[in-house]
Amino acid sequence: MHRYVLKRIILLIPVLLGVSMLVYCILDLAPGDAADILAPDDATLEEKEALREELGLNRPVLVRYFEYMWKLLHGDLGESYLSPVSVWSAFTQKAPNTLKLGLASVIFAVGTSLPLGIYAARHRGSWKDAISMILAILGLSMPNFWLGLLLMLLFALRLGWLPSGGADMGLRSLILPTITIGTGMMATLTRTTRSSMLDVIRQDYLRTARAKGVTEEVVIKKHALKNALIPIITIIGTMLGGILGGATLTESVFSWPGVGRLIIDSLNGRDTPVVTGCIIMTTMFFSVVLLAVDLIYAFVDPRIKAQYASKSKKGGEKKDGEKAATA
Amino acid sequence: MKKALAMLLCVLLVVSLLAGCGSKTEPAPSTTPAETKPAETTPAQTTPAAPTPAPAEAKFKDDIIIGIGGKIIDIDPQENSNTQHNYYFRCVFDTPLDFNNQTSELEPNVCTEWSTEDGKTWNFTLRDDVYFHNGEKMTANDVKWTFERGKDSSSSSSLCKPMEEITVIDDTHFSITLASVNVDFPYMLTLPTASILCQKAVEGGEKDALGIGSGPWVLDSYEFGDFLKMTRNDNFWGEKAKAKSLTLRYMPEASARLIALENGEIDVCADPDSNELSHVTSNDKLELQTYTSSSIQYLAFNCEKGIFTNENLRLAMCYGIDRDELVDVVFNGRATKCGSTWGWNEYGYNGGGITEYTYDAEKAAEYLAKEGYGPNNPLTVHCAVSAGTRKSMGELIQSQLKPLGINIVIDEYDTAGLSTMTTAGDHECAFYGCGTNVFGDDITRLIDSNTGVNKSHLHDPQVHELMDAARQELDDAKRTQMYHDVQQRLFDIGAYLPVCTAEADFAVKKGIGGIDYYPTSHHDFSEIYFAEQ
Amino acid sequence: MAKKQQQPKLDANGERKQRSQFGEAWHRMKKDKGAMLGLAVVSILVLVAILSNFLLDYDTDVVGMNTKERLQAPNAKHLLATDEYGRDILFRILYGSRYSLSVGLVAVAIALVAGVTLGAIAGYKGGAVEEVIMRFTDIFSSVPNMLMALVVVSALGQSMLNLMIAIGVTSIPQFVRITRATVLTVRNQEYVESARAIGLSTPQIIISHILPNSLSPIIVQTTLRVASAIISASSLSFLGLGIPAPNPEWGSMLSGGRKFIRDYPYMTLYPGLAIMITVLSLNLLGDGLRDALDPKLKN
Repeated sequence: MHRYVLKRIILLIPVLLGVSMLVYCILDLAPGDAADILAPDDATLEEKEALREELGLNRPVLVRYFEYMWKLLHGDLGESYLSPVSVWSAFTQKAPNTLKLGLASVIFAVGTSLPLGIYAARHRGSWKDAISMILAILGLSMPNFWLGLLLMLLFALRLGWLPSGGADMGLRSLILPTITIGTGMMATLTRTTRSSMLDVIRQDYLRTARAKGVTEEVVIKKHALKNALIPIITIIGTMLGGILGGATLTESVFSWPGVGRLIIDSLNGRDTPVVTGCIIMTTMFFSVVLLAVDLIYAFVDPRIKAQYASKSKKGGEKKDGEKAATA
Repeated sequence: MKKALAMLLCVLLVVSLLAGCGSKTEPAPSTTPAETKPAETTPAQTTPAAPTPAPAEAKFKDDIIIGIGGKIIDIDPQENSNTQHNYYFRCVFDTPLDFNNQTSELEPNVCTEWSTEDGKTWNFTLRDDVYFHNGEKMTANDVKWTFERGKDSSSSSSLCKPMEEITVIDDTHFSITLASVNVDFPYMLTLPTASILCQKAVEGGEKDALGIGSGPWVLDSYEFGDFLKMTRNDNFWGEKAKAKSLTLRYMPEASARLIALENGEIDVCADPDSNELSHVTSNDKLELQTYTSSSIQYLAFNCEKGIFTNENLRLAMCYGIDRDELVDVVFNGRATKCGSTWGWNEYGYNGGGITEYTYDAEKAAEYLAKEGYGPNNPLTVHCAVSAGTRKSMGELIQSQLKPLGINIVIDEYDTAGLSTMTTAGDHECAFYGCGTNVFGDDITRLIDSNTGVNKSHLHDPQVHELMDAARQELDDAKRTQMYHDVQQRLFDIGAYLPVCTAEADFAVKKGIGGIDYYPTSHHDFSEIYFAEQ
Repeated sequence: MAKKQQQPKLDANGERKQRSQFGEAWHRMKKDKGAMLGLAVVSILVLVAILSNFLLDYDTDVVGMNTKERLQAPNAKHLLATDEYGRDILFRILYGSRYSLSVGLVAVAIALVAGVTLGAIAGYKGGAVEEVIMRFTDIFSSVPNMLMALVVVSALGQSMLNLMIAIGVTSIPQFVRITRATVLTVRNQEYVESARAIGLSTPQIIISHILPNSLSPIIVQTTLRVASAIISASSLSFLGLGIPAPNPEWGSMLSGGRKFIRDYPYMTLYPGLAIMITVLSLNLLGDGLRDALDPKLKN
């Protein structure tokens, strides 16, 4: 068990190195750099060159990358090119907002998808099933920014119930962006709930329960759901892992001061350290949450624990299979 | 199966209705929005309306929130110079001199007097009652220190580098010697890049020292890329602000920003989209404040390499583009065609007319034919644009020029990409914009310099000679004539097609006033007030 | 239940087994209302995409401007209104199906080819090769898709091809994982071993014996990925990184119309509905395929 955790954590290192290198070097291909953004309109080419020198932008990308890496290995995410702040503080300032929004969205998605998925499974093949699935997919089929704008027009402008943007009105500012993101998550979660319920519903012990005269309600709630929960938890875990990087558009539409908007703004400003730093943090968050979810299972389900103990490779295969199912 | 189909159709119908309802917050317009707008034909060459003075007896609200379209990511006035940063710099910092938008005259600010003999050495007298927000008194040493610091900065270097020597005579007197004569120097001291910092605070490492100025507002708190809050400076040397706090909040989406204003979350919405102005004019709680921007939207031809080294092809484009249609469609009619490459607010402007490219498809076809191009042998032109109005202009000229035999290929970049590739000269032509300041020499960067703003990469000996001479000419009449000659020359060779200057707007709650609108869009909010209705 | 179980006896002949498997699946899918609806809509869309090329003239109907008729409400001449340049929205949506569908299809084709190849190699070869491929997959999949696509497009520059590459690259890991997982389950089956015994080369075995038997999850994944590629394209358009003007891709029509959303909702409503219906149908189809191809779920 410990060895497994250790292996997963060690495997994280090449992933983070790879991600940072990938992002840092791809960004360098983009036309323009931070000096272009920073220099005023009337700066001469010489002045721009001096600025480039000051920022260290005139050296080859690999040299810059290795310098960046060296600092990173010492736990330093570097400084923003444009802003007089460190990447770490820029990130930590925005991350709580995004986490809050992401968490709320996942809760919303779980709250709506589980009932919908169970309902669909119980009426498999009927039009009730079809309608439930269509409802679940609807949020995913509308581009986020469009859905967000429509919600804003209806609930903020027309009805005046909710603020149109910002993060400073507490729970009320949270509602619209949460729905916008949450509905997009519903499809996957409902789908998984439905199919894993279908898997369980026909198991023998449920038949036995039914035969014993237990009502359908109790069968579903007490027996089926409990056993269908594992794949559902996997999906929820993947969703939780993705919340840091998954709110980009919604944050823009609702002026939500989060990580996604920071990344987009920094991308437009060619602020490579901030973009790379934020993506590294997002990636790390994703991997750590997934690891945590895996470990939680192991405690919940003794069968899986036994698997980890026997051969770690088998555990890895299982995870891949599950991931495939989530997609 | 049929049942399910019917159900699905119903669901879709309901959804589409919902979507429709959500968007149709106004009765569906039977006419086009362009027609429903009040037919405003403000001539471009008006000076901006004076900021309405605050009513004497009114009660003022304490807090004002302004929604802005760009983010603030620095507090140091020497490190950034874009519109949104300048909003804040103009509130918190003082510059030596001030520019009056109504009279187009220089006015004293923290410097009460200024003079020069030869346009090279300038003498200044400083007020002796100016205190920084940390209580330090401002002296000539702070000015000297600030400008010396600016030489190595990102955005103040072009102001500070030409200063050869700054001499402090006493606490309230100093002189600046320039490397070469520049009669426009005092104007440059009105720009936010000339903001005066507090030497002791910065060197002493005070918290947010670079945000300590002497202006009517004190920097209170900020979160980069989100908001910046200022509070009233009760020890300000001039007239004190009428509100207690002023917050600039970053809201990137224009339509969301306007909704926030209508919903009462903010008090001022900067730059609402010109398509949505009817929602402001029809709302009796809101008001539209309009000014004519001095930002010229132009099409720059790369004169240094590629097809547009050919003058005939440049002129074919200039005459073949129907700018009226651009103004109507892209700017909803709320823009004025440019008469010359000069800004309408700029010293030496010739008033347009003779140097205006009037749309003439036949003339354009002739110029094209001279080079052997036409509908049967079309010319392919790459046009670089960025998102928004520039892209729209590109799409429109693409369709306008097609019948003439010019196929426009639109290359879209983000703002940084467009700036860089045009600076490097990798474009054939590009839509770009440039806000002109009042002083005549300001245009140099566009037409005769080595800076990134010279998007045509124009290096014309005749233009160069005239601009050089004008910079050092102390006689107004002669200097003006030189500038007129430059405009004529630019018209003849067709380096730029100046398209138009747009009407620009702020949507505000009724009762908001005191905003000093600068044609350059770097507005001054320092005297803003919010009178209770 | 046992009656319909496919006969393992036919295993030695991959071809026949495959046909019967898909025949079986089709039979099951016909009963799935959602899936059939999805299939019908998708077929119509493909038909529209093909026919629009013959029925509409690109220069006059699709990109030709007529600013005198700009921003009109739906009327007899323009059934679904006109946009800010006076172009007919209906024509643009019909023709736009070509762009939207091809962005989806090509992006997924890129992911499919790369992902399936890598996944098959990883699964079949195992060992160090597998380790390397899977670590790269980890790297790609741990960056959020949208951010990855964003970075790629803004770096490579804006063009339809780059957009497809960006979206395609972000979908590769899914295909690698699925293919590898299924290859792992079939590689030790008897028919593969017998193929090896008669001296077939590795690529031959992978292509003719292993892949056909891993097809089901890949087909499902492809369907769903085309849908999400169309959404990604519209998201990138919103951020100014969509396909270049004046091509009528739905996502760019939708994001271009958003500044008119209050006074003139047609410009967003119709392209938005087009995207919505397409994505919905593809998802329903994908779900139906998944159910139909999954032997566990047979009634």
